[in-house]
Amino acid sequence: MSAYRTSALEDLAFTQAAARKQSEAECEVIRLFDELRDPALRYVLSFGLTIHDGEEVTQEVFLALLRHLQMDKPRDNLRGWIFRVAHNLALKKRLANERTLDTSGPHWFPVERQLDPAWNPEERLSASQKQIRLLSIFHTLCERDQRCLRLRLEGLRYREIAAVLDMSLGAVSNSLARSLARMIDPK
Amino acid sequence: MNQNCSHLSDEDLLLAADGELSRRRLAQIRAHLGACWACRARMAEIEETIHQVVRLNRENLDPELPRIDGARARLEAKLAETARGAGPNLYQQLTAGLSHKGLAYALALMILLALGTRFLYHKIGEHEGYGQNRSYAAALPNPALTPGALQPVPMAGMCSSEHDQVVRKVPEGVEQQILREYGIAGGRTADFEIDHLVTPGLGGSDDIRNLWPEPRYRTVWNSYVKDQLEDHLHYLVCKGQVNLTTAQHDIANDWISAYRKYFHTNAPLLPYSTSGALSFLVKDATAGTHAR
Repeated sequence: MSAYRTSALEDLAFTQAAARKQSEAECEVIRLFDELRDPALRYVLSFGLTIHDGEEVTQEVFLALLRHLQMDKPRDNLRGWIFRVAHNLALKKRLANERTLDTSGPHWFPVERQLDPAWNPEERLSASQKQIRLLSIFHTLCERDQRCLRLRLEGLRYREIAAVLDMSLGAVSNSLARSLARMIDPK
Repeated sequence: MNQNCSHLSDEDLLLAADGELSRRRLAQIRAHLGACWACRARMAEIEETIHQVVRLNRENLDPELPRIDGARARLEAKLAETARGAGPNLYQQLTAGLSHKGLAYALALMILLALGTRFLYHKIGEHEGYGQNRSYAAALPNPALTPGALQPVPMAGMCSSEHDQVVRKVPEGVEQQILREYGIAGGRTADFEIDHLVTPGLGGSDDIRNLWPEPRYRTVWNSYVKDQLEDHLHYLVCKGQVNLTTAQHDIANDWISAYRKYFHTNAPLLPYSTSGALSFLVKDATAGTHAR
């Protein structure tokens, strides 16, 4: 076989392998998007972004994930990686918005919420009071405690939260326990 | 919180509920809970509070979230766009069907072209000057104003956490000083990100000699493209595949060339532009500047 043909075959094999790798990476991104888009979007909205900005940040997170996979970077903690990138991009966007005083994003845990229509008036009143109490306590937590709680709410394990927020495992468990204790026994 | 030392702490109870304890410690806690009503009651309170917080989180915000279908379709379109742009790279296209001798000539030609382009770029840069009141800064910093500055950082510390965790806000006074030095104090600050030339993740310092107004989106080589390089270089350095000093030198000397070198491409990997994935930043007419 001539050197030219060998080279052409190698090029073809290389191109096919690259296309296969691209396709696998895209499938992985879509699979993770289906699984984590809502949690990631809820998390970035907690930075005070608008729904539109939150959606754009979330899209960018998953495009960054494609680059991450294409470059054969570690896959052992992709969920933590996704939330860490979401955290950073949301932070960047919030910093930019602060300059424009654009803080029109939805407040997480709005006081007005949809109560279960099946509840009777007493149950609705009681539930509403509990929510208001929880909300008021939540908003007194420091930002780091709020972030820990939000990430745990989205299903992240302690190790993943520690990686996203650059904290130790002990600091994560301490933060979560402290926040819950305040919600149970407000001082 | 449970204060009595004979009872379990809230932290232990939460760790047990979350499955974050060793098997041995979990068995101890279960044994205690089996015997202690007070701790079981406390555990129930913790679980009930978690239940309430979860309800609040989901029931309040979920109805406001747009359906995933449209978002997935948009993502798939962007992925397809990326795939189209990722076809055979320039090197492969140019070298397809060439003999070894032809390849050598082609490479020599490419090197000459690259050197010529770089020469012309610098000539143009010299001609335009940095001190004039320009509405945008060049994609490369002025080496006289921004040669780069380092700080001693132990390798272990540098690689202990992901580089992209660092989002630093540059003080307002420093930002203004940099913009003045570059002659764009009256320009649209939304167009720039005050960026570290050598990123802190590679030992770059917050010294003003390491900061410059980098275009956000008006050029193909913009701050978001440089973020990719910073992330990739940090990864390569921490993997031991690139020497830290080499990485610092390359990014400080000419970050665009470094991007081409380390990504093996002549163009940014994703279309970061006004129509690109980060178009949401474009609408911030007066967005601020910050560095990563």
